Amino acid sequence: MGYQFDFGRVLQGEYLQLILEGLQATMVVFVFSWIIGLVLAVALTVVRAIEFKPTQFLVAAFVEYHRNVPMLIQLFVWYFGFAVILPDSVNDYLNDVGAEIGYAIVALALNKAAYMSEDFRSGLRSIHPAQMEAARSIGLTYLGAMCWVILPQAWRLALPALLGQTLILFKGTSLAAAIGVAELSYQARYIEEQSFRIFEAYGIATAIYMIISFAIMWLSSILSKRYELRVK
Amino acid sequence: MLEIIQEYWLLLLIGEYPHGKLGGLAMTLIISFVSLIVTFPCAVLIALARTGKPGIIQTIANGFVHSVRAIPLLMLIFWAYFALPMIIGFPIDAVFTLIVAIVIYQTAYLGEIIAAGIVGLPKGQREAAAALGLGYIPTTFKVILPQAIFNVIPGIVNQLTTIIKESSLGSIIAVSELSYVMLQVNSNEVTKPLQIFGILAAVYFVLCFSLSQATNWLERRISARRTGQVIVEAVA
Amino acid sequence: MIEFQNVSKWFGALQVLRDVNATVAKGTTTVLCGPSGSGKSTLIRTVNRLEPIQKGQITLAGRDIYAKDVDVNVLRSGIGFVFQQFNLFPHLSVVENVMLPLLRIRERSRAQARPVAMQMLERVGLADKANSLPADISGGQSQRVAIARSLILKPEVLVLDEPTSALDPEMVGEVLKLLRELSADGITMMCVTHEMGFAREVADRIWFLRNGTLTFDAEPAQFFSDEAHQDVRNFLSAVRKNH
Repeated sequence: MGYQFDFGRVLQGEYLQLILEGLQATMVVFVFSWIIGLVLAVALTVVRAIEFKPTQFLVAAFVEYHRNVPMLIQLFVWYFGFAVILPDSVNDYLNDVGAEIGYAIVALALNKAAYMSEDFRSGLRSIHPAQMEAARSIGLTYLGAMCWVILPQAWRLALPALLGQTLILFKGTSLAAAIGVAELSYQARYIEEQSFRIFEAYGIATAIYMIISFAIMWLSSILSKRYELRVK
Repeated sequence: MLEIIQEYWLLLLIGEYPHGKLGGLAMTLIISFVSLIVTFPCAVLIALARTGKPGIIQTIANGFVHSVRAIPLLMLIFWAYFALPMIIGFPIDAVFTLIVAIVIYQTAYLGEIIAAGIVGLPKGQREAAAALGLGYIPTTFKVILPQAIFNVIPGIVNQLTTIIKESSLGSIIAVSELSYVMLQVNSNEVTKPLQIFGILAAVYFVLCFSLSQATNWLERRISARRTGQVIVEAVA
Repeated sequence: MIEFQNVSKWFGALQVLRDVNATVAKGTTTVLCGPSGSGKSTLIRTVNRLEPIQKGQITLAGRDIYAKDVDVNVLRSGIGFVFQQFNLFPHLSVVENVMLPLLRIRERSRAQARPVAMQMLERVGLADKANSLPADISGGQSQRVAIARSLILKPEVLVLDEPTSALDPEMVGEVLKLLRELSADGITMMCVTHEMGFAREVADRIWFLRNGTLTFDAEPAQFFSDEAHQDVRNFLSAVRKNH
């Protein structure tokens, strides 16, 4: 093949700086999207639980949109499409401030909120209705029953799926590169274009992704076992 | 919005064919189906390795699946795009690198689904085959796999939906599938991104939503005739 | 203690309780029996308003349970209810299951609630399983925990819906023994069961229901004699065949 590996070149100076900045951007997008997505998912689940057909339909439509449209396209819709709705002054300001990362966070957060709310819903549905009966029979109010009996079981049941979504979200941050966010895969491609060190540049980025992914997978396995709900 | 469809519909459907390469929605569908077809036997092999006897093959299979699941598909696409021409010695069209990347990625995930199907079969199936004197190959290919695969058909169709969505990443390496074509239309039109990407989202939506409805229908039909229990978690 | 006056209930078009009139005296044990679908479970579930009624009145200690000033949650915390399927809360340990009403309804602190719960667990013979999870104890043990949980707020009435029907035969005895002791202690008890031996020994009155009607209401001596209603004798001979 005649290819000379030169990891040293990539792992120092300017290139190392870029990799670290890329990793930082990846983590920023990941963490913010995760938090916003989770909070929104809880809200969506609550709204959907209220017996009011119009809002239930809206939430269902929201979920189906985000499940059936590719994540990349959702990013495009926000980055290209939303900017058109905003007035020019706002756009200029946003572009100065680095709007791409904001759009990426919004798109990923909404996408994850859709998937996670489905996981919560699934968790809620798998709880036997007799649990609510038992909780009410001892004298708990509806709210008390939800708080102390139903929801503690629901999140435990949804946990493995939620942790799965967390891993998917982390890997999904790589798509932000397509709208110009200088995250890890973007930097890897840039370094490769500048230095022609294909294997080194992509190799290091891949290794970083793998290390963090394995950490997430390991954490998921521990948490799933710890909070496993055995119903007998 | 309708003007855009009216003006560009042929481009969106089949790209620049016959003046240039095939593209658009046709290309998306070709990429997706070819990927699924090529992935399928690989996924079966992975599933067999993972549910079979412990040993060097199972360890390699496990390692493969865990490693692939730890990498974003985009990175795999970059690897395939740059490394593949180098490895085989001559340049190849980006489409093939895209398909290779998707195949590698989905072999891991589809493999998991088929493995779940195998594991979900009643143990008695293997025992009955052994009692009849069937060896490993006939047992696997005539008894276990047909049932396992039948049971996970909904899961397989679901993965097709996922593959269709993943094909959109081709736009990043300039493969002329639907999303790339739309990006070109957008740079042409400039002032109508919301309509353009709205249409793009709508096309994928119709495609994937119909497939997921088909999946639900299949799930219902198969539940009635299924042997054993299959629990398949959401994979992406 | 509990009075049913002209109680009728429909599930849609189907009438499941027809004009039930009966009284449960304070401190007594009443056993309800009858064929499947007779309405016996439905009847006891009306006592804590798990099943609403469309006609008639139910009073507990002289008060109409549907009166405007009655808080349904307060009502329920004064009635101990035990389900056929135990319905323990799987995310909590045994002692936490028993503590829950003290913590969340009486708003006691954990330090106050734990000793009371432990005492109750000792009463039912399961103090050594306090930190186990419901998934790790047997059916008989689960039902005893369920009984402990239902009694922790010291209710005046204990209502049980086929408490031993979901248990393996060897575990039925331990639960019936506990119920016998509770009955002797003087709590007002209503129990739906197929365990006729238990009924004969422990009940002060036995109610027989068929098709939503309270067909026969008598003391055990009369219930198991030839003076009983024809339906009762048919039912008992069918039950005897299987024991």
